[in-house]
Amino acid sequence: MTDRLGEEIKRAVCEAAGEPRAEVRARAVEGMRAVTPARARSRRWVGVAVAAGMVMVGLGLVSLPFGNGSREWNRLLAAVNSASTIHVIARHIGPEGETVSETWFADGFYRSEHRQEGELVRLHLDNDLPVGRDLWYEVRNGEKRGIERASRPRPATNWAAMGPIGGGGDELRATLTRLAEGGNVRTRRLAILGEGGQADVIEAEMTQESEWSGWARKGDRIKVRAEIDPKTNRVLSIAHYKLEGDEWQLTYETESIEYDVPIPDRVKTFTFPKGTTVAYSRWWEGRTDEVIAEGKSDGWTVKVHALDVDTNGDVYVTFSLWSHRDRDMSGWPFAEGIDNRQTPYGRFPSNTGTVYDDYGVIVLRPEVELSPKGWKPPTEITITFWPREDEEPLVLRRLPLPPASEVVYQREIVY
Amino acid sequence: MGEVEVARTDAGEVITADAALVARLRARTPEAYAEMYDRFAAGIHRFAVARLAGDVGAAEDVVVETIVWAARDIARFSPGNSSLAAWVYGIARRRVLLEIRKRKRLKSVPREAQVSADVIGDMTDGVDVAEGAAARLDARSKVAALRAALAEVEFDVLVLSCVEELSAREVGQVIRRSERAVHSILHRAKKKARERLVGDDR
Repeated sequence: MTDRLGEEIKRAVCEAAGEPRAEVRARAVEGMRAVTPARARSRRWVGVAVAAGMVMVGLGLVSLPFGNGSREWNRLLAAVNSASTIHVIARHIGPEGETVSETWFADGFYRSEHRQEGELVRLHLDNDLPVGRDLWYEVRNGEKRGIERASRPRPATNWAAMGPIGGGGDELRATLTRLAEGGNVRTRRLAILGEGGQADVIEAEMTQESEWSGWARKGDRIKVRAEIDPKTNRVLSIAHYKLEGDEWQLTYETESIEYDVPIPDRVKTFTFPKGTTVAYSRWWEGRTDEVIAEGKSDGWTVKVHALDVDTNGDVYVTFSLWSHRDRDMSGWPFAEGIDNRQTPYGRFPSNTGTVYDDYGVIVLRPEVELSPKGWKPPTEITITFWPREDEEPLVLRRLPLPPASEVVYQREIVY
Repeated sequence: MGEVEVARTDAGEVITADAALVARLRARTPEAYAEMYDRFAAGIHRFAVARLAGDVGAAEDVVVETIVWAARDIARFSPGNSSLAAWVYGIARRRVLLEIRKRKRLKSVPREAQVSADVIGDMTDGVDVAEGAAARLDARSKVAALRAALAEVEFDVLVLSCVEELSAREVGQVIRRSERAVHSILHRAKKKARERLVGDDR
């Protein structure tokens, strides 16, 4: 009977599962290849740590000298930034209740989602891996709003990597900068016995100086506590507190921080829920195959892929810009224009928020007020591009303009 | 899952297949990655699908995470403490528990009756699709019934023993209990499983 039962259970479990798909093998093998092997724990060292911890159990926390703040911080930062991926689950406790966030971070990839009572209320997905895509989604007052736009590559370096861990990356950055710089921040470095080992604890108390940070207001007394793995220097946990009366109220805490975990495929995409109104769709992307004009300088090549005019007289320039020296597109290119009626167009940066890698859209707006009565749309325009303000401009002359449209692109799409 | 196979080092020293695999993983031999996957992926996948209410996608993530995690931490594996299989299943179990805890927080709906198109596609091989899907649903409902009837640790012990064929000692290493405790839990689990499956057949 026992054998038959075992067989029956085995058959059911095997049939229910099937085999993992072939791509799982590729992911696993590639993941093993890419991962940095951990060093073996020294058993002697662990023994010493456990023994020391046993002594400390009776004492609670034992203060250690904090040392050079800047060096400590740089050490932590370097360790965090050495991770290929970071996965953080955290709780945010505020006046509006509690949200649980889950954040994935890797070079060229960022996803953060917040849930309240299980419901998705906020999401940001910035995925440069297959294609540049930057999605924002938020539920506010029951209304589902989204933004979809092309994205620029996001390097996983320096402060950026601390963002998902800090909960409010900027706040943590400010906190730890001050912690690193010393000043009037009271710091302690503590050692505790954690589960299976030791962790350093760094605490900092200070007064919130910025107006509003999501977890504290200006003038609030706040505290940040971080647990650090002394072996890897990586942050194990972070908690934020705010002083309410004479009690520290928890406002944020990480439930788990994982490093170098492969990013699951399921978090790489997101479909807006039905009924979401989405702004700034990537309307111009299908138009970049065509080139209607091209200009070159020593340092740059610019291509104009499409031109549009709306009935306000605004000219939309879909362009790409390539550096001959490197591919660094940090900073926004500028452009100005003059049309066949000698109407000047102001010098605006690519302000539509639709820059993807080297592609983007610049909206040129007339610098003079156009009279709606008798206004005739321009038929040609000469555009001057400044890839950088201090570099030689590129001039593309007498580019033909299409007839003016009421709507150049659909500003909102309801899913 | 016992270590009966053996291999030889270049010096002629006899070692177990697991020890040889561990040595190759530590040396970061590319072939070892595929071997590691072939050795454990299917088993971890079965275990994870059973534990995660048939969520194949999440189970596949557990497979990848477990195997990559194990390869990363292979220097920390100590043969004196556990077998390689017990160590790997221990990692898998912790990944599964993490996923379950996360779901509880996110209040996800269990996916008892879902069969993804991918899975149906994979299982056809000339077999009627509807028939294959039905068989899988039937198997999943049986597993779901067991999961509902058993405590988590009982379910784990049952699957690791009966399906993955780990020894009681190895199961104990996975769940961090004594061999004796494993026998006791397994006895209890089988009793409950028998009642549930027989009851279902009625």
